[in-house]
Amino acid sequence: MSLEASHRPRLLDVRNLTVHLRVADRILRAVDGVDLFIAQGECVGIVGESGSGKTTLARAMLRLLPPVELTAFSGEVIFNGKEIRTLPDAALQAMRRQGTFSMVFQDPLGYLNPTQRVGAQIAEALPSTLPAAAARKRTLDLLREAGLREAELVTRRYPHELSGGMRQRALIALALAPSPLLLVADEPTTSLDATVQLQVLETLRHLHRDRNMALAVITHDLGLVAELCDRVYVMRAGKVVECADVFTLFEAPAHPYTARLIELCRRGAPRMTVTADGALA
Amino acid sequence: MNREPQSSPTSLSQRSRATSDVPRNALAAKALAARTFLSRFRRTHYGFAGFAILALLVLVAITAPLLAPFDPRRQVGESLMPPSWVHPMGTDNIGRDLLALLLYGTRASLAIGFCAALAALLVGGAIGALAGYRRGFTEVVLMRLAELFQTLPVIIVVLFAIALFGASFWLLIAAVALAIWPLEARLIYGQFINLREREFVSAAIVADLSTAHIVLREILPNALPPVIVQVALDASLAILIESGLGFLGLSDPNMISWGQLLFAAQDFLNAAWWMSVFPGLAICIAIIGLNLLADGLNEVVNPRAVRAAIGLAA
Amino acid sequence: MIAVVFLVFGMLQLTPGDPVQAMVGQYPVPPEFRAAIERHYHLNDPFVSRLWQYFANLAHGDLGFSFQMQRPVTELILERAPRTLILAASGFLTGIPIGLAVGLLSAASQNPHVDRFWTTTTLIAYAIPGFWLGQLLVILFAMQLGWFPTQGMAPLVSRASGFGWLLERARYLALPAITYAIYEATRVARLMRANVIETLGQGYIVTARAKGLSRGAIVRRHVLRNSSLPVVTIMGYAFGVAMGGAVLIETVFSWPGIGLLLIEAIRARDNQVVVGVVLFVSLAVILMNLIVDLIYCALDPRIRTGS
Repeated sequence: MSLEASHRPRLLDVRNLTVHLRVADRILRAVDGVDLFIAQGECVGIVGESGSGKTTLARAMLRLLPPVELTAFSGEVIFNGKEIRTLPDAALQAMRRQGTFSMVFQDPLGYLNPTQRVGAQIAEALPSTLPAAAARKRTLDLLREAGLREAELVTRRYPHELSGGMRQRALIALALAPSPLLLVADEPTTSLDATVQLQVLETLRHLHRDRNMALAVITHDLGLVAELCDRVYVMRAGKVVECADVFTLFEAPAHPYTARLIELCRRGAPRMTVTADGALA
Repeated sequence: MNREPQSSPTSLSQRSRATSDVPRNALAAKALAARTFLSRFRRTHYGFAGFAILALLVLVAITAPLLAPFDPRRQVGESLMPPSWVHPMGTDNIGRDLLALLLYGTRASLAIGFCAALAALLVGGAIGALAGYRRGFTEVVLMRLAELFQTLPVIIVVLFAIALFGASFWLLIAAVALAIWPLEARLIYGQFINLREREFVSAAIVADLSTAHIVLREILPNALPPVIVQVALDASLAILIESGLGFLGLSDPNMISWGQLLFAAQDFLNAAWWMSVFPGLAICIAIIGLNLLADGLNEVVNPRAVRAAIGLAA
Repeated sequence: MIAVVFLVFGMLQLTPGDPVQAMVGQYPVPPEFRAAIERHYHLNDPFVSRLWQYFANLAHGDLGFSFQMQRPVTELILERAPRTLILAASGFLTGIPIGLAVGLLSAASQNPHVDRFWTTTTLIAYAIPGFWLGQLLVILFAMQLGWFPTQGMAPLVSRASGFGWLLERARYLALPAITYAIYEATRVARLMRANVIETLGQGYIVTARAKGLSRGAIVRRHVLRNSSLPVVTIMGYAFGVAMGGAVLIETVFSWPGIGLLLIEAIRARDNQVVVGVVLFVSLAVILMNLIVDLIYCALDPRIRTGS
C-alpha cells in the first residue's frame, strides 16, 4: 500500500523549507532546510520530540504561523501544483475556502472562540452562499462525522461548556467544513484521556478512509503513527533525519535517533511489533 | 572556596556574611547587575528620553534663581504683554514675567510630585507590606480599605481633605498621598504574596531571624524593581493632581506652581493665550517625561521580549 | 458604602475648630442660632449618638443645609447632578467609540507606522491635563474662531424652542463634551490596543485564518468583540475618573453641574455641601461599579454559563 501511495500524484510538495524565528534576542532555527511530500490520499506521520520543530513545520507549510517575528522564511511549498508560500493573502484565503487544506490544532480550548457558539464557528467555515438552513444541516453532519453523536446539543454550546474530547472533535469538524483534500492534525490525541484518545484515533482513521483525504499527523506518540500512517518523517532540531514507510521505520530504522525514539516508546509498551495491516501488536 | 549562588536572588544577609571571605565576587556581581541594567535601559530610547527630560526639569528646578531673568513675584513689565524678546513667554495680568514664574514653578510642582509619591510609597508600602506579611484578618481589612480608596475619584478625595484641613505645602502632599496610596499598597502587597512563598524567605524563617530583618533584608530588595516603576507613575499622577488643585485655586497660595498659573490664566483666556499655553506645556512635558521613564524602567524589569516569547508555540 | 459614610463622618470630626462654625461657613453665628443647631444636631452628645443621628438624617435624604445658597443640600445636588451626567454621558458616548476605533486601528494595522503614530498621539493626549485641554479649546474655538460659546450651559436669555433649542444647547455642550471625549478616548484606546494585541495572539485567530476568512472579516467578527469586552470592566472606574474630571472641566467652562458646586462650596467654606457632594459622588461611583460588574457578567458567556 505504501508503494502505491508514493507513486500517486503529490498533493503537497515541500522543498528546502527554512523557518527562523526571533525569540528573546536569539534566533531559533525551528525548521532548517526540510524536504517532504504528501501524496494524494496517503497518511503521513511527522514525529519528533518537543522542540524538534514539527509543529512549526506544519504551520509554516500551511502558512498558519502565529504572529511572531520571522528572520527567515524560504523554500518552496507547492500544493496541487500551485506555489503557496509566496501567494498573496487574498488568493490564499480564497484557496482555503475552496477546500484545499485544513489543520486541527493541539489546544482546542485556545483555538476556539470563547464567546461564540460552536455551531456558529463551524458554519463560518462553510461557503457563505449556503442558505442558513442548509448551513445548519451541514454543521450537524460534520459534527456527527467527527464522532459527536449529540450534534444538536453541541452546536448550541460554547467551547468552555464541552469536555476536552468534544472540543477536539468540534475542531476536527471545523477543519472538515471546507472539504479539504489534506488534513493536518497537530498532536490530536495528546491532551486527551486514554479512552478518548482511542475514539479520536478511530475517527481519524474513518475520515481518512471514507473521504479519501490525505492526512498528516504531527505527534510524538509513535503508537499513533503505527496505527494510522503509511509513511513517517522523523524530525530532530529542525531537520528531517529519516523518512521511511511505517514498517521499515519500526523494524529497521536507519538513523540512530529513530532507533532511540522507538526504544523509548517500546519501554512504555513491552512487546510492540507492526503487523501487516498496520496495527500494533 | 566560597562560591556565591549568583543566579538566584542573593540576600543581603548572605552577602554581608561572605564579604570578608570573597569581597571581589560580591562586588563583581553588583557591577554586572548594574551594567546589565544600564545596557537594557539604554536600549529603550524612550526610557532614556524620559530620564533626560526629568533630569533637565530637576536641573531647572534647582537652578531657577540663576536662570530666571527677572524676579517672578515683582511687576517687571506691562501687564498682559505677548511673548517678546524681553519676555519670551509674555507677562501675566500683574505684569510679572511668565518665564520666571514658570521656572520657579518647576520647584513646587516637582517637589510636590516627588514628595507625594514618596509619601504614598511609605504609607501604601507599609500597609501593603503589613497586609502581605501578616495575612488573615489584617490582610482582608487593609486590602478592602485600599480598594475603597481606589474606587473613589482621586480629585474628590483630595478636595475633601483640603476642604477640611486646608492647603499648605505639607498638607497638600498629605492630601495627594491620601489619594494615591492604594496603588503602592496593592503593588507591594502583591510582591509580598509572591515572594513570601519563595525559598529564601522560608530559610530565613527557619533560621529564626526577626520579622523586621526578614522584611527589610530579604523581601524588600527583591520586591523593589516594579515599585520603582510605580513611583515614577505616582509622581506623574501627583503632579497632575497638584496642577489640578492649583488650577482650581485651592493650592498653597504662598507658592508658585504651574497649576496656579493656569488658574490665573482662566480669566484672561481671550486676552492672553500665552498664560495658558506655556504652563500647560510644562505640565505636559513633566508628565510625558515621567511616563516615558516609567515605561523604560518597566522594560528593564519586565522585558517585552520575554513577554512575547511566552506566547510562542513550540 | 457604609464605610464611606463612616469615613467621611470620622474625618469631619477630626476637623479642627468649632463644628458649628464649620457648618455655617464664613458667616457669623448668632447665639440663639448656635443653640438651635446644637440641639438639632445633638452636638453635645457623645460620638455614637451623633453618628446615629447622621445616618438617620441620611436615610431621610437630609444632607444638611447650605448656608451660602440658603437651600437644602439635597435639593441643590438633585438639581445640578443631571447636568453633570449629561455632560459625562455625551463625553462617554463620543469618546468610547473613538477610543475603540483608534485602539483597534493601531494594533491591527499591518503598517507599523500607523501603530507608532497612534501610540504616540495617545501618549501625548494622555499627558495633557484635561483642564488645560479645555482652556486650549476655549482659546482656539471659542475666542479666536468664535464657533462656540465660551462658557455656561445656556445663554442668559433664550428665545429658541424645539429643535432650535436643542441645537443651541448642543453648541454649549460641544466643547466641554469634546474635552471629556478626548479624556476617555485616550484611556480606552490604550486598553483596547493592548487587548487587540493580546487577542491577535490567541489560537482562535489562527483557526479563523485556517477557515479562509479574510483579514477584514477576522477583525470584524472575532477581534472586535473579544477585545472590547474587557473594556467594559473599566467603565466603572472610568466613570469614577469622569466624576473627578467633572470638577475640573466644569470649572473651565462654568458648566453648572455638581463639580462646580463642590468648588464653590469649598471656596465658601460651605462644608455641608462639600460633605453632601462627596457622599453623593461616592454613592454614584460605587453604584456604577456594581452595574458595570453585572453588565459584564451578562455579556461574557464564560461567566454566564459557568465553566
